Amino acid sequence: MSREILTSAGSPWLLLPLLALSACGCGSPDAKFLRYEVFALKTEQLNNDSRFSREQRENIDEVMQALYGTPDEPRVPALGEVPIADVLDLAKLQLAAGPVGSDEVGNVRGLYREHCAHCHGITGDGAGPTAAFLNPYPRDYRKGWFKFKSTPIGIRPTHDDLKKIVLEGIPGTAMPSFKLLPDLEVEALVHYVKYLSIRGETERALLRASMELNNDQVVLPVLAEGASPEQKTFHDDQKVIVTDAVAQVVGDWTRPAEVMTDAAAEVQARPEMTPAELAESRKRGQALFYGFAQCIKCHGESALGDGQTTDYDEWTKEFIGDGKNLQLVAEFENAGLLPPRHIIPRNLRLGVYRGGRRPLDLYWRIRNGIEGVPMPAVTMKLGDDPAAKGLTPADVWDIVNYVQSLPYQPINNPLDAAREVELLRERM
Amino acid sequence: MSAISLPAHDAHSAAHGAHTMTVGQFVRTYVFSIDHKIIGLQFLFSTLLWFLVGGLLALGIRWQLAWPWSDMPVIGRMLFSAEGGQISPEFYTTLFTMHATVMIFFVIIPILAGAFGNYLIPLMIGADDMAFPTLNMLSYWFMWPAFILIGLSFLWPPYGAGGGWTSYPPLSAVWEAAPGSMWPQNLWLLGITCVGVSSMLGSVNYMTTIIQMRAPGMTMFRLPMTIWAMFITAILQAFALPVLTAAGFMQLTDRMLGTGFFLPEGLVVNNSLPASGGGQPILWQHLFWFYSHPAVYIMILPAMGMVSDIIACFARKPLFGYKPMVYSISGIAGLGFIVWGHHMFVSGMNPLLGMTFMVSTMMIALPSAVKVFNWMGTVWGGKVQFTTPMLFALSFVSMFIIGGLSGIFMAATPVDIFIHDTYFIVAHFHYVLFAGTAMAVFGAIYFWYPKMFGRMMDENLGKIHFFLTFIFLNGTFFTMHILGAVGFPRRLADPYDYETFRHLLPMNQFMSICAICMVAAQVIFAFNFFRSMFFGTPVGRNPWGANSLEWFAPTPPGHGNFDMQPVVYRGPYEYGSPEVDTDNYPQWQPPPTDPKRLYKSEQH
Amino acid sequence: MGRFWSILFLLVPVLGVGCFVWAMADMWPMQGHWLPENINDHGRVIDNLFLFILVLTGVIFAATGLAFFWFLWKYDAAKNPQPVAFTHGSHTLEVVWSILPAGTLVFIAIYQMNAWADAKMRRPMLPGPDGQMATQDDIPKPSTCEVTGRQFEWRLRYPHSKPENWKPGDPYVYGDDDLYVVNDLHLPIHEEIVLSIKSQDVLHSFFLPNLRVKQDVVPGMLQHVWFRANKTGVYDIVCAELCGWGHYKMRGRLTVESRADFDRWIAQQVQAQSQSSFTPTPTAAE
Repeated sequence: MSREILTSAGSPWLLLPLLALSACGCGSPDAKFLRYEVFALKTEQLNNDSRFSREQRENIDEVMQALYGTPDEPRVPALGEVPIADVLDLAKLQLAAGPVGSDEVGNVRGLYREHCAHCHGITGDGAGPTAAFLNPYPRDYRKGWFKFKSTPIGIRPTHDDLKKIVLEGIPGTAMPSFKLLPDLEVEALVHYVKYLSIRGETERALLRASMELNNDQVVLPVLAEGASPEQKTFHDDQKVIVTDAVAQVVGDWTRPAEVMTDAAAEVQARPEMTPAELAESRKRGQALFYGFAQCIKCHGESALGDGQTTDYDEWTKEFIGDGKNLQLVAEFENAGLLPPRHIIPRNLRLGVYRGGRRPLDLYWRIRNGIEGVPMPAVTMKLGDDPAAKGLTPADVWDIVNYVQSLPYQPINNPLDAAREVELLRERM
Repeated sequence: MSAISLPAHDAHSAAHGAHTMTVGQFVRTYVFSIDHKIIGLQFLFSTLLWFLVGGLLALGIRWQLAWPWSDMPVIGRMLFSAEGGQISPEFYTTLFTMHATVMIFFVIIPILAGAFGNYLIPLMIGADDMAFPTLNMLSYWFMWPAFILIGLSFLWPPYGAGGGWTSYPPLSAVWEAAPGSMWPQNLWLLGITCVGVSSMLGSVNYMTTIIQMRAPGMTMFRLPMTIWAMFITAILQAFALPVLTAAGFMQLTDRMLGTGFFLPEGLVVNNSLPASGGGQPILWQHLFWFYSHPAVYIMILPAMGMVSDIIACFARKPLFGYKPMVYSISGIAGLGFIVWGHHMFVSGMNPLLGMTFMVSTMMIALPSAVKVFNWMGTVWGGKVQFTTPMLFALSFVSMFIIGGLSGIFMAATPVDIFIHDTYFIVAHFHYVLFAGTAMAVFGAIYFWYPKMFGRMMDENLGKIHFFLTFIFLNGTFFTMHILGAVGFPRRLADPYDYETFRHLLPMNQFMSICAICMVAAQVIFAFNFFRSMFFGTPVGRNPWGANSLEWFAPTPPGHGNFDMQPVVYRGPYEYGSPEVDTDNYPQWQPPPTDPKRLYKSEQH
Repeated sequence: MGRFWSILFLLVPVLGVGCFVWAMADMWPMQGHWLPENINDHGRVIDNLFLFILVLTGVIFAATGLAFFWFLWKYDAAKNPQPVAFTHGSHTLEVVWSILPAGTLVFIAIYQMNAWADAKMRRPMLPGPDGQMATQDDIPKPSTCEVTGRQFEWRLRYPHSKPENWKPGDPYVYGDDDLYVVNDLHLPIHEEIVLSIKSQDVLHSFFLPNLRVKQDVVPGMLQHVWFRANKTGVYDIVCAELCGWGHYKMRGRLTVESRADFDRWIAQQVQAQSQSSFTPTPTAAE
């Protein structure tokens, strides 16, 4: 009987599905960083729609790979005096990079892909497979801007800022807490986030630099054997430009450490208060909330976050402006931008504080503002001139006390509020 | 009814010479056919194709559990090449949701009721077709909108519904709650509604046909167990499905129209504030399980009926305890309506109900046990022929013992606190549904194939298919009981982050390898199935020497089924009767004229 | 071939029972493949019930499996020359094998009702103003922590304000200065703990494998679980109801420690939560 199976007319049909399967291919190619298409498109638009040439884009890919490696094998650019080792540790990057699993020695690998890539994307672009379904979208690291940090707007977050977010998560969003991971793994992830951010900022710089050139020039050409003197000069000039760009990006990341050692970064502890003093402080805070600090403009007179709801965050605005040009929006969505969502001011009556609920965190949000979104830094009073306009640290603490009291106000629960009114009426 | 006298019908091909058919006639004969046999075969082919889809989805699940976050074959390359083939977590939720949905609604229910019910009922009761042939055709074609809707959901991210086949709100009812709860969930709800309509149309037909169109002499207690099972199953479907359909509509309106049947106040899901208020998520669970518990009996009773027929045939001996078997099927069906709460012991429903449902759930083990003992009684004292259908039927009994006994753990409410939503549950239902029903379905295919296609399937390939499937299914599913004892949870894309479960990876890898081999072994079945259609040994009317009326019809039966009116003289299990010299004694064969040969039996 | 198939069916009870015995005996490769350690005083009854049912079903499984094998072996048509036993059944047997299982099942059901009531219906109470237990004015014992399931984490809220006339051992009260922690549940040992559990968005399920505690958290419903932990250590909290793509990520950590350590931890966390100052430190290389 078995001979019949092999020789029967039906046998070739058995091979067909097997052939089809093998033609499909089983395994996937290695993970690759994706190009920063939205920024390329924006750069083209800002320069009268002149297009990058294919060679320019490919050259940028090569330079990026030479500087930063691949998702499986990261590199840290070696650029002379740039103190990159203060910011990126290659050993930790290697723990975070690569496919999920362990290497031959038994070290864990692929932490970023295991924990982060499906939201933040393999490139750190905030557009992984899950991202489109999340509200708010995950962070796109490539601009180098982060919302919840201790540093002022325009300065990169410190290592501890990023670590705190990874450890605590961001309540009210899809960013979970990773505090149950071993410290070494958390460190590796934080380094990898910085790596992706630096990489993204470098790509922006290279795209900008490429736009300055003619279409037949690339941002860092390979110096061939029989190159002409002009080509050599061009190559050397470009090398300096590229190195400076990377140095600037990396320098931005070493600056927070300097800024945060500055005495101006000090925050003095909130004054201890008796309940009566606390009530007074809250009243003052409320006056500032409605008055000088103008919080109600965005957070609304009810503090429910309905003051204005039509703005966008910077990660979106950079590309689509006010969002009214639908064709522009469509072009960017084709290039990879997730469908734009308005940025909604925080509803302060929920007791959910994305950047952390410590008084210190709230102080930072008010004093520093939040980078990338319309929450500005308040105007602080500089110097001792009583006529100068601005808030003192005590004022900011008053606002913090007021904000912290908002979730517990009886008015939040209409049933309780109705009872309060009833009780008031009875007493009257 | 046209069951009394029939003109003689030749085999099907003589009446409709293929060359002389117009397109319209072809479409009416083979596409929108009202012949129950064609409809049955349409169901059979559709469900076998979906079986392949469901099996591949299961392999996706097993791959992720064995090699988490690694490059998934074919799927990784097609959908996740940017990440090097690593699937996303929401894709995992889609895998297990769609695996269960496809297997339950597109494979098991339609193949039992739609394929075998349709094909066998008129033949086994001696009728020429169903009571409502056009309704029958509609019940098949109502499956196609469901196929298309669910098929569409596979095409764009997130590639399918993701709320579990149980579709609990608020996860499934709130648009923003999960990627798979966005547009694919709408398709899912509409698809399930279409399947429900198809089943309800079919059930009305089966009940009417069985009650009204039996051949002369075919009393209810001379019906084969297959027919009893199909009859009781049809009653289950008719009473239970409307509840699911209603619940499905309620969830659809919750999603799209702002009703709040299942959504309580104050939900903040993924930073959206869904229109909600006044609803109760547990209400869905009650409505859903009110259908889905009888559904699991819908998914096993026809298989039990067919297994009874096959075992009696190949033990060459009457079925042990015919009436107890009938009463057991009825008991299972009746009790099946009052046990739904055992899916909800820890759901937050009133704990007092935990006690009442525990008692009724424990009781439902009784009729199942009675059936197992009766099958064993059928084998005892027989002359067992180990043909392929018999092997599958025997394995049904053996595996059903495991599935049924594991159910007792879950019926024990305090124990269920620990094993709910773990792999113990997964083991239980895969044993009853795959090691039980699917094995019975394979056996039924091998058994009735000659009647359907006029040729035998290859016995040797059949036995190899059985052996490999049997070995690998036990390798895949038995160790799930052990995993469940550890508390290994269901539906986790990556359970190995947890200290409690980290060391269970090797066992999961073993199970995945067995699963891959098991699915691969089905290639033998597919090959056998298609090859035998053209090159199998041609057979006559009754190759197995069975007793029931379908073996009286020509092979394959023509339009109208029988070439002369069958008359029934006895029950379907008179194998080894002393009244005749053959070891089978068909229902349609008149008794011997010599009164001395007649045998008095207390049951038949 | 019949002999071969009979042996195959014999392997089912043999390997089936063998697999369980092997796992229970903690032997390679199934070491640690059994019930996880139970540290809940109330959890033992669940484990005992599990084992009781296991033994009962194991015996039935082995007996039916062996009988099944024996019938297939003995009545193999190729080897059995006897005519078939032409019988349609046995009324006596039907009665016996209906009554016996029915009785056993009803017995198991009733036997377990107490354990169920203990786990789900008898919430720990405190004596009311009259100071007596089990009187009408008893109040439910306040919870030590409020656990809110949310996509995809466990948000924990600990009361730590002391009411008037508080003495050690008394519960704390919830207020507007509660401690909010994520995923990190600490509890004192050897005390009857009550936890309030709720959900903010979709169904989750609060599962403590080592305490044999599981309860779905339903949005719109406030529920309670209770237990008494009897061993210090660190244990998993698992979400046991599908809640979305991050269902697998909802891992929490339960730390059981002495009351003194627990109070100390609460105090530490409260202090960290009320941090309001920042002092610049000299840079250290990362």
